[in-house]
Amino acid sequence: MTPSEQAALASIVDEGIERKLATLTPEKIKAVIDAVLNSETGSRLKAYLKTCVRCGLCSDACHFFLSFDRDPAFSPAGKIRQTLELFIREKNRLTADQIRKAAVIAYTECNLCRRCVIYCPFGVDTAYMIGVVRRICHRLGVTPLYIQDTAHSHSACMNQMWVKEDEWIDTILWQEDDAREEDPDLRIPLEKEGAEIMYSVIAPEPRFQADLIHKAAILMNRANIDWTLPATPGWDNSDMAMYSGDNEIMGRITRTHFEAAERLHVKRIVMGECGHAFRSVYDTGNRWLGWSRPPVPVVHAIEFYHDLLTSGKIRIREKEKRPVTFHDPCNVVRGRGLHEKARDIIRATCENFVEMTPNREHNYCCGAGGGVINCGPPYKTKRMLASRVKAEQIRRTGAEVVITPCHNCHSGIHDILHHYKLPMTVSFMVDILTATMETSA
Amino acid sequence: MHQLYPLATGPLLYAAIFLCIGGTLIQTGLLVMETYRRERSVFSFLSLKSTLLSMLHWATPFGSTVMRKNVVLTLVGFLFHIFLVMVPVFLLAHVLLFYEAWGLSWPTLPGWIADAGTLTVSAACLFFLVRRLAIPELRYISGPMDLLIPVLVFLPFFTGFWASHTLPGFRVVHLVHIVSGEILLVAIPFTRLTHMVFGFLTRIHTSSEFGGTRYAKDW
Repeated sequence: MTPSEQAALASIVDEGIERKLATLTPEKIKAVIDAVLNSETGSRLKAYLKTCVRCGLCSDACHFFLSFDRDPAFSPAGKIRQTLELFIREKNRLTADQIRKAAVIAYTECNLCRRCVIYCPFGVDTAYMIGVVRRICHRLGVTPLYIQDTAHSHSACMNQMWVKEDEWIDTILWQEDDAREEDPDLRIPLEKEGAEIMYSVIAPEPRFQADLIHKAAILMNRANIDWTLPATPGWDNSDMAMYSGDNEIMGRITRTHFEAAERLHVKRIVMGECGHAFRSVYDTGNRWLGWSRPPVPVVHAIEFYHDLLTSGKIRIREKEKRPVTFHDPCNVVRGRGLHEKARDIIRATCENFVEMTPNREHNYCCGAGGGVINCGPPYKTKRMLASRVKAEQIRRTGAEVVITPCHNCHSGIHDILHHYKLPMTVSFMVDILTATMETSA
Repeated sequence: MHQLYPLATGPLLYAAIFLCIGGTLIQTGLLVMETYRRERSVFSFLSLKSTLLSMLHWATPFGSTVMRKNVVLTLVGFLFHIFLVMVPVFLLAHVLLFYEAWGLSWPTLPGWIADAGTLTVSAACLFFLVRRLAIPELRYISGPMDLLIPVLVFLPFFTGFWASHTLPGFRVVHLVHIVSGEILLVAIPFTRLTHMVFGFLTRIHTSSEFGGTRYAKDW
């Protein structure tokens, strides 16, 4: 780390964290930690804390640890030592300074990517434990400003970017207009009851990546899919509340999403290329609501594209010629095992596919997921420094295009390519598919 | 000194066995009951197939990625755990004690294997201790208990070897062997040594989550 980078890390001030800390006393902190540990956690946490034999094997799984020159404070077990174990040692009576440190570790030094879980001989889930620390910080009101703003947006608008209902509808109509320049008969069906598929996206798409809606519409149209988008809240499947520790809002978001699908009587939900949203809908939010499995079948874009290709609903006209590589997003690979289907799609659409190493379940995190990128500009330098191993891994492929079907991974890798001056671009799968597919089915 | 033998091999031994088995059963029972009471949903996600598949990989030397990345630790770890269980259970001297006390007996290890196993466990304890002190990220996460546990395991094995070969001072060392073995038994349910049981429980949960819900490998 250069002196300027060290100075940048030392000078981080997060207004969201600082504002609340000033009002906290050890008694208030103890009351909240007691409440979370006694009423919201149980045997899982106890078993993890008792079972971990401090073997240190999780260290090499963590991109923070590797990128920060094997600094022990960044190892997964090291992060637990500085947070939950500290709470236990201090009998939950912590100072504001100790809570600040715990919040910074939990929100900005762990992407909850679960890579360390598969490096632990006992399967200790450090991501779950860091999630508990985030929950405590949330209940203390000590959350980074930017991710809290996103959680507020979820609460007020049921989407993560303060998109108003008319703005959403306007964006769809605008994208429909644009897409009709390519496919004149194309429609983006809003509120079509009884459609086979409800397509849901994350709010950054209508806010600043509207071309992705356009491309999805082209794909749906050419594959002749019976689909719809809801015009009401529930169109946004993203969920930063899951990462801020606001489980109540997480539950509201997931319920609203499924309620939109139930209201439209669709057979299944197809989610755009987002990883964390899939985690919320498929793994976390649904279970918080008491659904062991999603009440409406949920399909991630990878699975959907795979079906379109294998069923012949879309055909590839001319494969991508540039060398491409693939970044496995944690939430749909370690979270849903879609890595082989993703590779099938890439081999079907690209001539020259170069694997990253390590890959599949063992891929390094993009550094952006788990809400870390959503903690905003104050932490960008830190996030880039923590992505050094990711940058080296990408550089080694020699590819020109990094494909990744996840918004957070896309944004994280976009930042990495710029920061580490890698002569590559990053693409979603739909970018590649729409560029290579035949214009009519 | 000799008066202590009946104490160490009588009431203390029974107390240690009772505390070890009883403590482990109670700790495990409490954990399972608490799961049932507060996190009952865990049970609905358990997957036998995923658990067996995952355990098979983790029970096979170099069956998981992390083992292949840590060759020496894997070899030492496997030998350590195998002999840690095999030597005390199948040692001729121990089986004889059971036979004399309760008339029970079972096959025993040849002496040279028992000796090699005992020395392997002792050496592995030293390896774990040195590793813990030498590697910065391990030092960082280690507390006094983490340093004590290898010593707790080392003592009964090393003293057992010493006493069985009637090396100088073996009478005292034998007593140390018995008492340290009893301390180790008692420590199982009350220290990180609970991973002997809890490790299986966390593995069952994680394997089920990975294999049964997330369709991904956890090895």
